Amino acid sequence: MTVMAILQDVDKCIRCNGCVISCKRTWQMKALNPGIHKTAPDQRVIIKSQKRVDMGPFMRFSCWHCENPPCVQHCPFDAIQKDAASGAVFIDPTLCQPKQYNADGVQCIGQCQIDCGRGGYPKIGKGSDQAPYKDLSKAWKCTMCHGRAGDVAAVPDAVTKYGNPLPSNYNTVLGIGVAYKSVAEQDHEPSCVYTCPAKAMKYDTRANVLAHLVPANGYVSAQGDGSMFWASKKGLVIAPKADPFVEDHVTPLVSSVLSSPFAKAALVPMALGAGLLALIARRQQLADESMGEV
Amino acid sequence: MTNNWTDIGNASLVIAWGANPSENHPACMAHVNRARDRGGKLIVVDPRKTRTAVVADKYIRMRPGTDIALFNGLVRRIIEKMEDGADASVSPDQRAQFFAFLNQTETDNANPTRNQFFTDGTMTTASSISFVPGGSKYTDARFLVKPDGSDYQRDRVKAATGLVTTDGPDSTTISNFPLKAASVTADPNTVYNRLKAHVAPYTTTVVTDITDVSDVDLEYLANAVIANSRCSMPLPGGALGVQDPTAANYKATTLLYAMGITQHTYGAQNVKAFAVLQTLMGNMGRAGGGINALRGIHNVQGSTDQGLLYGNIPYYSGNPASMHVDNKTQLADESSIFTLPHVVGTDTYYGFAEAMVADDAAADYLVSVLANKVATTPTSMAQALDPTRWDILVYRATNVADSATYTYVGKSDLITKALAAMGGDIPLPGDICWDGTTFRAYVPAATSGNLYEFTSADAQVWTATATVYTTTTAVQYPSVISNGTATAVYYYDGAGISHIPLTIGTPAPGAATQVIASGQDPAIEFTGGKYVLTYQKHPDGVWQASATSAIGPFVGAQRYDNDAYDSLDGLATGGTNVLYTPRTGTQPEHITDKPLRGFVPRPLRAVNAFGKYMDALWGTPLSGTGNKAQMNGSYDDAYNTAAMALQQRGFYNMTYDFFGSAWCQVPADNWTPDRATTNALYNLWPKGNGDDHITMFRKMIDGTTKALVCWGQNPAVTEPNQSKIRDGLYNLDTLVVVDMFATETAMCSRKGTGVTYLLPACAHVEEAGSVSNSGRVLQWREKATNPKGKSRSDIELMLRFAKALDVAGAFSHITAVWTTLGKSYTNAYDQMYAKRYGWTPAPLTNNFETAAVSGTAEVWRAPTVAGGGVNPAPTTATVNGSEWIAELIFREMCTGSTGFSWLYTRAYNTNLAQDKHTGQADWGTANRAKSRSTADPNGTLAYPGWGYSWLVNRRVLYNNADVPGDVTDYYMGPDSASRLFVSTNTATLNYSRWYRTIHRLADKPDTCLTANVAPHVLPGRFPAHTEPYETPREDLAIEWGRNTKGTAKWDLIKDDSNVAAPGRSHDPADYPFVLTTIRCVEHFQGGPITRNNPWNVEAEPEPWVEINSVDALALGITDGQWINVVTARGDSLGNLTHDTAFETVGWSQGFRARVQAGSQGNQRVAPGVVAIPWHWGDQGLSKGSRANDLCIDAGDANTVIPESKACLCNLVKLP
Repeated sequence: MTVMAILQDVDKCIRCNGCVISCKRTWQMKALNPGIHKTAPDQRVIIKSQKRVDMGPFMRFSCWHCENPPCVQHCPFDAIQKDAASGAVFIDPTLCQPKQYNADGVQCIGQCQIDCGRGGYPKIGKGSDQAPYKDLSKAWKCTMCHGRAGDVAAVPDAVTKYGNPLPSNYNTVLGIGVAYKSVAEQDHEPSCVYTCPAKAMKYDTRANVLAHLVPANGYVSAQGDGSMFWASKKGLVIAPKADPFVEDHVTPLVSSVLSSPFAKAALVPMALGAGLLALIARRQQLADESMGEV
Repeated sequence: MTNNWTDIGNASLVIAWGANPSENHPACMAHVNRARDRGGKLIVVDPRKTRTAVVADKYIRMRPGTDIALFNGLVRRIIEKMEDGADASVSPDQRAQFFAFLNQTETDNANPTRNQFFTDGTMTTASSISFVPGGSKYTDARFLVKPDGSDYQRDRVKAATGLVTTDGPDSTTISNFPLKAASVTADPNTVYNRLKAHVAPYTTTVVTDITDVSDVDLEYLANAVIANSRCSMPLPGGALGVQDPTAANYKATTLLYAMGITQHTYGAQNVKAFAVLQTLMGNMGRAGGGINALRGIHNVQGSTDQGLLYGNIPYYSGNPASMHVDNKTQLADESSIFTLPHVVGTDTYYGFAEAMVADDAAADYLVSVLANKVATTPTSMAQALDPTRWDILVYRATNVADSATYTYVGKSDLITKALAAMGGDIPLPGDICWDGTTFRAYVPAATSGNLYEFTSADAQVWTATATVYTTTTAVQYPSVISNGTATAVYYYDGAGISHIPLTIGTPAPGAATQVIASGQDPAIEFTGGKYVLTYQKHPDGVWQASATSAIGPFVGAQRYDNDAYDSLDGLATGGTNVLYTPRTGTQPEHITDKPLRGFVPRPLRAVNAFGKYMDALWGTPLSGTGNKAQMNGSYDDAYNTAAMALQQRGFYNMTYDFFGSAWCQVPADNWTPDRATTNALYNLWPKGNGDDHITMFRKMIDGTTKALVCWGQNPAVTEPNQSKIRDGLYNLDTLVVVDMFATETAMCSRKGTGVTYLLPACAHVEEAGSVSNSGRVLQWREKATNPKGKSRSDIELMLRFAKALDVAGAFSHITAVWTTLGKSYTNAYDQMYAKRYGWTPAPLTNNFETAAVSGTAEVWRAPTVAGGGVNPAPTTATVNGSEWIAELIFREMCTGSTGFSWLYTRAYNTNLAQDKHTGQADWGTANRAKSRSTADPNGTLAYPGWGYSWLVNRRVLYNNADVPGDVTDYYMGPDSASRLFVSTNTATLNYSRWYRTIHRLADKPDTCLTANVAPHVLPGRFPAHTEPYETPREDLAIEWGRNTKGTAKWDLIKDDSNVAAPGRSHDPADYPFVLTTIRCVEHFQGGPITRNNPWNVEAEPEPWVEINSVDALALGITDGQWINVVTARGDSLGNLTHDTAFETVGWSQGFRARVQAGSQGNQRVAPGVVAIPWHWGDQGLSKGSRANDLCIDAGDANTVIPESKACLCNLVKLP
C-alpha cells in the first residue's frame, strides 16, 4: 500500500462540476442543495472560485486527508479512520452513530465537524440515497473513494459498504498504463479524478506528487497537505477556505492583487503542509440532521 | 473539424472564437490543456467572459454579431504588418516565409506524391491523378481574377505527360483553371491583392467602432496569430520550414468555434472568414492548425454524415430530388453547401431565381438563364433582363404558346449566328447550354431532333457553322406557358405532341386538364401518362409543391410519383436520342457541370435518371462511349461500377441498399445491377428537398404538413420564436415523439383531433452502434446494459415503426417496382428491415435485446475481467438485439467497395494491415470503430489506431503530406478536382473525372467592398461585415447592411416573425439590450436528459439572466431578483404572439438575475448585453422560462440557421 494524493492543477480546472456530479452519482448522494456551491452532508466535493463569483481560478474543495486528522482523534465510535497505508481518511458508515453514546458512555457531539479547520468536513446529515444509509443521519465526507479501491482483503465487506471498485481512466491495454499500474491503488482512481474531462487532476502517490511540485516543472505556487494538493503555473494559489456557505473566499481586494501582474511574476515559496490560510477559517456551525434539508 | 480533438494539443495558439468549451465541450479542454502544458496559449474572443475566458491567457470582448468585421480587421492588420518592411514586430524571416508560402507551387510534377488522393500512408503506393502542372501548392493566392471581379481569368493547360485518355496519351487539355501571376503581389488582380482590397475598409478605427474591440487588443491578436503561424518557424532566407509538430518551437494556430459563430444571419460567412484567415496564414492542413467546429454531442458529426439536413442525402451528396422538381422551387431552395447538383461554379442561378420570384407581377418571366456573368443579384425585372448582366439570357413573354417566341438576349453575335444557323429551330431554354466557350442547343421535334453546337476560340468570335446531330426519336416533355392566365400545356400522348388548354382551378394529379388560379404559376409533372400541374405559387412568393400533389401513403408528406419516369421508357431505351449534353474527348471535367444549368425546367427523362444525377454531382466521364458519335452512351460509365470512384460507388450502393435488398447479402443473381434496375431503384429515392426548420413549422400552421415524427429532438424548447413552433405543433394531425422522457414537445398543446404518440426510447448506453465525433472519428459504443423498463433501442423502434408503416402500405410502391423488375421478393419491408437482419416482426416482447436476433461480433467487454475495467484485448462474443443489428448495418455501410457509405469506406475491413499511418501497428479489429489502440507512432497526437476517421483514417484534412505519418491529402485550388475525393482506381485520368464539386457557394471573389454595393447573397470567398437583424447600431446596419437574401425566398425572417406581440412595441428603441443565448455545463440542449436528472437540476436549478452591474444599478436590479425579459416576440411570462393557448403557470416565471461583480468590463457580460440560457421549459424536474419564446428566428441567408446569438430585448423587474 502506498499513500496516495490528488493534485489539482488549478490552471486547468474549468468548473464543469463533472467531479461533483460523478462523486454524487458514485456515492448515491441526495440532491438537496440547489446551487450546490456549498458544503453539505450530500456534498463530498465542490468547486470554489478563488476570485469573484465564478471567475476562477477554480479549485476543488473537499477533505484534505490530513496526515494527523483531528476528526479521527475525537470520534467516539472510531468510525472515522485514517488508512495509514493509502492515506485516505474515511468513515465507516456502519460505525458512525451521530448523537449516540458509545460503549463508554461518550456521546457523539459531531466533534468531527467542529475540529476540522480546513474543509468543513465531515458534515453530518441524511446525505445518501444508498441503502442501508438512506435516511440515516451519518457523517459524510470525501474518502478518496476508499473502499472502492478493490482492496477487498483489507476491507472484507468493502463492496457491501462502498460499492464496486472504480476503474482507472488509464488504458492499460497497450503498455501505456504499465508504469502507472505499479502501484495498485492507481488502478482505481477516485471518481472525481476519473471523470475530470479537462484532466486537471492527477492521482498518484504522495511522494510522486510532491516530487512533481517543483519550480522546474513550471509551478509558481502550490498548497496542500495530507493527500490534497493544489498548484498553479500562473499565479498564487490560496487553498479554499473552510466556509461552507461562501463560494468565493477571497476579497475583491485580494482578488485584484491576484489578478495583477505581480501575482504572475511572484514565485511564491512552497507552502506544502502548511495550509496557513485555512487556519483563518471560522469554526463550523454544528450541522445536525436538518443540514440535509439545506 | 478539419483536424481532430487530440490534434488541438499540437497548437501553440488556441483561439476559441464564439465557443465556450469549458462549459459546452468540457472534454475539449483536456486537449487545450495539453497544448498549454506544452507552452501554448489560449485566447478567447467572445461577447461574454465565459468560464473558458476566465481560465484563458487573454480574453477579448466584442460586441455580439461583429465577428466578420473583427476578422477582416485582423486580416488587414496582418497584411499591413507583413508588407511594411519597417514594422519591427515582424522579422525579415517571418516576412520572407509568409510570401514564400503564398507563392509556393508544386514543383515535382513528374513525381507528384502530393497529388495523390489515396495512400496507405507511405505516400508512394497510390497512383497519381490529374493535377495542374505548376499548380499552386497550398493556396489560390496567386490566381488572377478578372478586373471586374466577376470570375477568375481562365486558362487552358495541357494535362501531364503520361496521363492517358481515350484520345490517347498526353492529349487532354484541361480548361478553366485560373491563370496565375508570378507572385501574389505581382498583379493587382491576384486573389491576395483582391483580398487586400476587400479588407481595406476595415481600418482599425472602423473595426473598433463596429466591434468595441480596442486597437490594442486587435494588435495583440494580429501579433499572436503571426507569431503562431507557419511563417514563424522559418528557415533563413525564406526557405520553407518543416511542418512536423514534434519539432522544437513548432508554431500553429487553431481556431475553435461553435454556435457563437454559426447562429447568426451571417453564420456561414463567419465560418468562411475562418477559412480565409487560416489559409492566408498557412495554418490549414497542419497539425495544430485548421478550423475546428466543436460539436458537443457524441454523434452530431455522425448525424451530419448521415444527411439529416433537409437538402442532403447521406454522406454529403445532393438530394436526387433536385433533379426533378420544378426548377423555380428548386432554385429558391438553394441555400446549402453540397445540396444542389446543377449550380456549380456560378452564382448565376441565384440571381435568376430571385429575379423570378421578385417580379412575379411583371408580364414576362424568366424561363431560363445561361450565363457566366452576373455581378450582383438583380433586384428588378428590368435589371434581370439587362443583357449586360448575362452572357446569354432566354425568356419568354406572357400568353405565348409557341416556343418560337422565346427571346434571346446577350451575346448578340452568338445569338444572331446561332439562330440563323438553326434555320427556324428555336430551342427551349431547357435544351440549351452554355459553358463560356461552347453554346449547344437541342431542338426536339415530333419524330426527330437536332443538336447544334457552336464553339468559339475566344468566346467572342463564333463559328457560323453548326454541328448538327439529328435524332430519330422525339423528345417529349411538358411545357407550360404563362404566369397567370395560362394557355397551354404541351404533352406527349404517345402519338405526337399535343397541347391541352388550361383552365382555372385546382390542379389534380392525373387529370387531363389542369387548373391554374389567377396569380399562380403552373409547373408540370408527369403522372400516369399525362402531365399534370403539381406546383403553384404560394402567396408569400415561395414556389412550393402544391398540397394537392400528395401521392402515396404519407399524408402531408411531399412525394413525387416516380412512375412518371418509367412511363418514359421509350426514351430510356432509345438508341440515338440526344440529351442535353454531348461529351467530347477534348473538353474535360471542368465544364461538365455547366450544361446542367440549362436543363432543369422539365422533368428528367428516365434514360438519365441515375446517370444524370451521378454526372451532375460528380461530372461526366470522358472515356467509355462518351464521344460525339455515341452520345447515347454518354452515361454508360455512370452505371459502370468499375469506372466509379468511391463516392459514386457509395451512392450507387446506397441506391441498391436502400431501395433494393442489402447489397452485400443478397444473391447476386437476384439483383443483377443492370441499367434498368439501377434506374428503377434510383426512381425510388424520395424526391424534394424538404423544408428548412423555420419553414417546416409554418407549414404545420397552414396545414400543409400534417404529421411530424420527432426522433430525439425537443423543438418545443430548442427552436426560436416558440409562438410559431407551438402553433405548428398544435395544428398537426399526428405527432410522434421518440424520447426517453415526456418532453415539452410530447406534452405540448394539441388540437382536439390531433393525436400524439410518445415512443419510449432507451438511453444511449442501453443500445449499441457507431458514432462519429467532431474529429470525424468513428467509435463503437457498446451496449452497457439492456434497456430499462419498457423502453426500446432506437433500432427496435425503427424496425417496429417501419412495420407499422408497412402495414399501412408505405412500402407497396417499392414492392411494386420489384415485381416489375421480376424480383421474387414480395415484401419490401421484409427485405429492407426485418429479414435483412434476421428479425421476424413479432409482438412487443422484451426479448428483442436478449434473444430475438443475435450474431457473433468483436467486443471489448469481457465478463471474466475481475472487477470490470477495460478488457485487455478485443475478443468475439455473441451479441444480441440492437448490438447485432448495429454491427450488421455497420458492415453494410463500411465494407470496402460494396459499402453504401463512401465516407466510411474500409471502416470495416478484415485486412488488418490495410490503410495505416506510418508506423501504425495492425488494426486490432475488423470493425475499426472498435479499434482502441492508444499508440501514437509519429508523436503527432494523431492516435491513428483509435477508432477510424473518415476519409481513409486521415486525421488532418488538407494536409499536403505536411503532417508526418498521416494519410496524405491534397490541397487544390478552385475548379479543380476535390481533395476529398478518394479512389482506388488506378486507371489514369479516368478517375480524375469523377470529381466531387466542392464549392457549392458561388466560387467567385466577392466584388463587394462595402456594404451598399450589393446584398451578400451567397457571395464569394471574402465575407463582409453585416449587422444582425436586430441591432442596437442601426447606423451600422445602414452603412454595412444586413446579410440579406434580398428578394429571395424569404428575406432572413418570416413576415409573421416580425410582428410584435399584442400590447408590445416593435420599435428597437424600446429594447435597449442585446440578448444573447448561452448554454451551461449542467444542462444539455433542450434538457430532457439533464432536467430529469436530480444532480444536474441541483447544480443548476433555474434559468437566469446575466446582467452587468452598471445596467443592474441603473434599473435597480439586485442579484437574485426575478426579471421579465421582453422582446418583440413576447415576454418570459408567456405573453407571446402565438395563436394557441398553452399553460404558463408554474414554470414561466422569468429569469433570476445574476448581477455581476467587478469592474464593468471584467464581468460576464458588457453593459448593454444580457445573456440567458435556453435549456428550460415546462416539463421535467426543473422547469423555467423558455429563452426561445423570446429569440428571433431570423435565418442565415445561406443556411437558414436562426440568429440565436443576437436580438434586442428589454428587462422588467418582477415584483
